[in-house]
Amino acid sequence: MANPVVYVVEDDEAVRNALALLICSQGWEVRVFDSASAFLEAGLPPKESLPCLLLDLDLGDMNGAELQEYLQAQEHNLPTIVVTAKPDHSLARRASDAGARAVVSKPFEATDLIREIEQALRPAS
Amino acid sequence: MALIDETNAWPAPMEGSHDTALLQALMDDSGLLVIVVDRNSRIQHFNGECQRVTGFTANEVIGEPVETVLSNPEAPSGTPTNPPSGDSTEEHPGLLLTRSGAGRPVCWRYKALRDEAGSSHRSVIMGTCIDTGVQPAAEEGAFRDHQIAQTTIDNALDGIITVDDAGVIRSANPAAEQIFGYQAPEMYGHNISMLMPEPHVSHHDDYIRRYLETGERRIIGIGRELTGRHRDGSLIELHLAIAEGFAHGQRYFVGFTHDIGPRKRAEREARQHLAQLARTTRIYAMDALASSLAHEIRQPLTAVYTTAQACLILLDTDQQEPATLKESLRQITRQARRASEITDQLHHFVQQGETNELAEHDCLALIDDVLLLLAHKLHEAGVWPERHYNNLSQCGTKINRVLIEQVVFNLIDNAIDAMRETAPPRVVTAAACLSACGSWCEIEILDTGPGIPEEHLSKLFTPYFTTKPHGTGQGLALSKSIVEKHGGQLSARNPPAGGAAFRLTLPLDQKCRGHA
Repeated sequence: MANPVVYVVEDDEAVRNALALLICSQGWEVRVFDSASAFLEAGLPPKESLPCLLLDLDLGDMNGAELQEYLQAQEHNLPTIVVTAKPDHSLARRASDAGARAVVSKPFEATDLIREIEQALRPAS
Repeated sequence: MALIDETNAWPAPMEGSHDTALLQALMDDSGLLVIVVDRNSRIQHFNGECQRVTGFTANEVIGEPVETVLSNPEAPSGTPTNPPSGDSTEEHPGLLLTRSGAGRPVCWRYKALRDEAGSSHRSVIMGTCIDTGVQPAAEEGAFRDHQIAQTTIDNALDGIITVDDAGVIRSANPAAEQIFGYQAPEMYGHNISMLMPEPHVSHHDDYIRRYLETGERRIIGIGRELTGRHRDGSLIELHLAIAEGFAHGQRYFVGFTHDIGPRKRAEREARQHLAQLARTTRIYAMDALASSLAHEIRQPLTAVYTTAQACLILLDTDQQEPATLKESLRQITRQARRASEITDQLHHFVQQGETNELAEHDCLALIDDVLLLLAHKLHEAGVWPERHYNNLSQCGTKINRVLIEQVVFNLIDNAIDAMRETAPPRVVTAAACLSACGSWCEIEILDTGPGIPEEHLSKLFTPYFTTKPHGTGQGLALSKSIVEKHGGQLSARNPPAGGAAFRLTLPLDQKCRGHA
């Protein structure tokens, strides 16, 4: 069985690297993007790769909520975990409404995020 | 003032005279000016004609030195005007000083009054006004001119005081009496320093001497603000202009002065109000910044926290490679520093809020700092900041950094808000350059928003004018007064290329002018 792949869309380089390190420490594969458009340009991940998306909200050109709404419109039910410094912001609510499965606020406990990712990666039974 | 005479009645008839009625008529109605002085040249008697010509009452001048009312323009300054003893049959020209400070030409002679033992304790000075020698028509004209001048002086709002070249007060008009709280005769014959507080009191004679020696003008013909002293000892803020003149071969100075206390108080209040307004606006800005900065700090904190936890996990799972761990620790250090820089910025922004001093600052660094403070807001609004700096390196301007920072902050903040509804690309440009003439620093903040509606252009800097739903309408009004307080200007326009542009100019330090 293929290794799960965790996609990270985060514009802050330091946070992006930290997330990548944490994901690697769990033995998962990680792909990082600094913007929503870079993520979309790479092509949507194949569903059989058991992907999961860690999504920041404050992104330059297209924000996280807009990306989530786009994914919902594409009926690509990529499990998404929103990672944001403003969990109360309207963007977080929009992302949840568009199907994001969890909102994790920065800074977070590593174990909490890992648990969320594990649940997201578990194939729907 | 010491009052010597009890009444002002003519003293007992002189020896040998039996006709007191005749004497009284000569004294009161002959038109002769009669002053009796004691052996110290202090006035004992001042007859009706003298009172009529000078406007002083006898009580005001009795006990005063005779120089207070009678000057000898031919005598060098400082020598006694009237010898107290001896007789003079020769006529002397002189000036009888009037209440308003003008001089009435008189000619006079004097005679010692001796008692039976032949010793003299007092002298009588007798004089007549000399308005003759002038053609009647011209005399009338001169008199009319004199009257006009006198009316002007008496009714001037400015205090007008004349001093001679020894600094002795020779005249003072009613406005001057009002300002300083003295009656004019109380000032006559005294050094002008009586109207000054320390340290000028001790230096004023030096001021005059220096001017007489060097001709260097520090106040004559220039005018300046200084502090005077009221009779009650309180200090008065004054504007003083001095004119210099010559009359009868003698130099004199005329001071024109008015109380600027009320204006100064209004200025101080306006400054306090401005500072208060600046604080209020600052608090608004802080409010907006607080959430932005909280986010700004969360990013490095998240990086530090996550990286550290990932390292611990790696250590536990025996996957650690020294190279990875080392790089992670470096990352942690870098991010911790980043967080600390953000708090420094915030600290700097808050801490300097209260200072009022002007100091030399680099405008470019200031703009960079503001852009840093607004980095998050810019990012969040999808606005790209651009900087165009020209010719300004190494150039300082004397500013209150906090206030100017506030202005630049307001302008960039407004630019971001103005582009809320604008399609990308949204760009705010901070341009700074040396003005064409080389003596100004010009900072322009341009946006790519919809521009300013024509009908708003004229009201933009008016207090309480705002188009923002939660705006206070103070930002631009305050910014303009801050810039003008620095001797600069703030203006707005819609550049032909689109968007809005706000330009602020600040005077450069002398030494930077003309540098490229």
